Amino acid sequence: MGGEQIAFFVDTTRCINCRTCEVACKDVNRVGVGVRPRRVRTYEGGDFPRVHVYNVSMSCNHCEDPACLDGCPARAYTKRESDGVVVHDPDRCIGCRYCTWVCPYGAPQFDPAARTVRKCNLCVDELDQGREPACVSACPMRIIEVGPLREIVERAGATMRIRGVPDPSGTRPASAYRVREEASHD
Amino acid sequence: MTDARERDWPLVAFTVAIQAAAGLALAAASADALAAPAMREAEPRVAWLVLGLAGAGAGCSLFHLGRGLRAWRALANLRRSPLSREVLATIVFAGAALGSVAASMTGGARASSWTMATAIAGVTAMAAAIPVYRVPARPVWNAWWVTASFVGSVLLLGGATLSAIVAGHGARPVLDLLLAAATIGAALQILSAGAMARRFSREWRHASSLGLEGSAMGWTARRRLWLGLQIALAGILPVLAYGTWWVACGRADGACVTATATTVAAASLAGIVEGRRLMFDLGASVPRF
Repeated sequence: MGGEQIAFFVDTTRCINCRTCEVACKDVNRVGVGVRPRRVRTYEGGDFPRVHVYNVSMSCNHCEDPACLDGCPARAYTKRESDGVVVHDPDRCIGCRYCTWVCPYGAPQFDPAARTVRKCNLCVDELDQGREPACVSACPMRIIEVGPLREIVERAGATMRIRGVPDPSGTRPASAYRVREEASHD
Repeated sequence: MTDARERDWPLVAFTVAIQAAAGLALAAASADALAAPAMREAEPRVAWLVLGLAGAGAGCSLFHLGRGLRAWRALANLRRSPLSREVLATIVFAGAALGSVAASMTGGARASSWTMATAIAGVTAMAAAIPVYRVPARPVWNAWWVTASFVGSVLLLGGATLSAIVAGHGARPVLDLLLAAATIGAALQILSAGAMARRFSREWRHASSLGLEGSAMGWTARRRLWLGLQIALAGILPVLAYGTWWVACGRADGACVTATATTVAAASLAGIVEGRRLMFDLGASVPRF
């Protein structure tokens, strides 16, 4: 890859589960009913009285070794040389949904109205104009950021090993999260 | 969940039809190798049936696509995508089946060669499908039972179907071979169904422990029914029926064999379809992120 991989950083310790990021993504990208390119998952655990709950907002992690790219029979996925964003081309997509099987994070989702898959593309049109992705600018708690991966992973508490989230060693997701102690797999 | 089930029926039909065709081709090639006279007579019918099943299966798979008219693009990533390779293997199998039909009309050594080539292509198509399903992101499927289920379907459907066709006309060694293969296939169905159920239970319990949305649906009555039908129709019934035949009938022909083989073939097909529906349902229902 010629350029520098960019990545999401999400501080889940301050996520209030408002789902504004989900709505902003759907709104800006005109995504149909039932498709959520960015999803907020709520995890529960522990035994009374020591119970806990935490939220994780995740879209596509633009993996360094994307399973969708390898698995797609129609070569509808490309990883941009300039910034490592994994982009889906709906014109090449045949709607076989194999990418929805192979992605560990459920990022590609079939849109029945479009009859193709939809996926977070990190709002590359906005990025290329020097603006922020929809989820980043919409979050009221300002917990979602985009930046170079090498800087993201150096942040205090940054990890991709989150309890309930698939092992990152498979596809090497280019994202990092700050999580509470009970949510960490480290 | 309902929408996912509705979308997956084309893949149920595709996988079952291709595996039935591959099994029938393999069984025919095996019987042909034994130089069974009954196989000579049945060759044209079997060739047409293999072609029909392969063609029907491939046709059904198009209904799974959001854009079926662009299906030709599915061959664009042969280097990396197991799905592209499965598509190619299926096309080659269908082509071999077509050649087998043409050769069966003339008969002779050429027909036998095409029968063998079709069998090899069919087994290759079945084998090419396995890595499509054994993906880490679908933990319920990413286990040995998928391989066992596919191989078992090939052996059971092929052996059961061909025995129903040649029963009453064939020599004992051919029927012994076919029914032995079908019995092994039925045993594999029982083992794979049990392993699939255990695997799903384990993954579902893990998702439930995390309180993940969607993890509330575990072993519903519908899923228990499908599992029971698969084990009963595609597992226990064939094993009991063939075992009974060997003990009670023991003849190379006759109404007993024909009735047994036909009934078991139909029941096996129904059981495998139920099991495959369950496989797709369970694979999609363990929530990932």
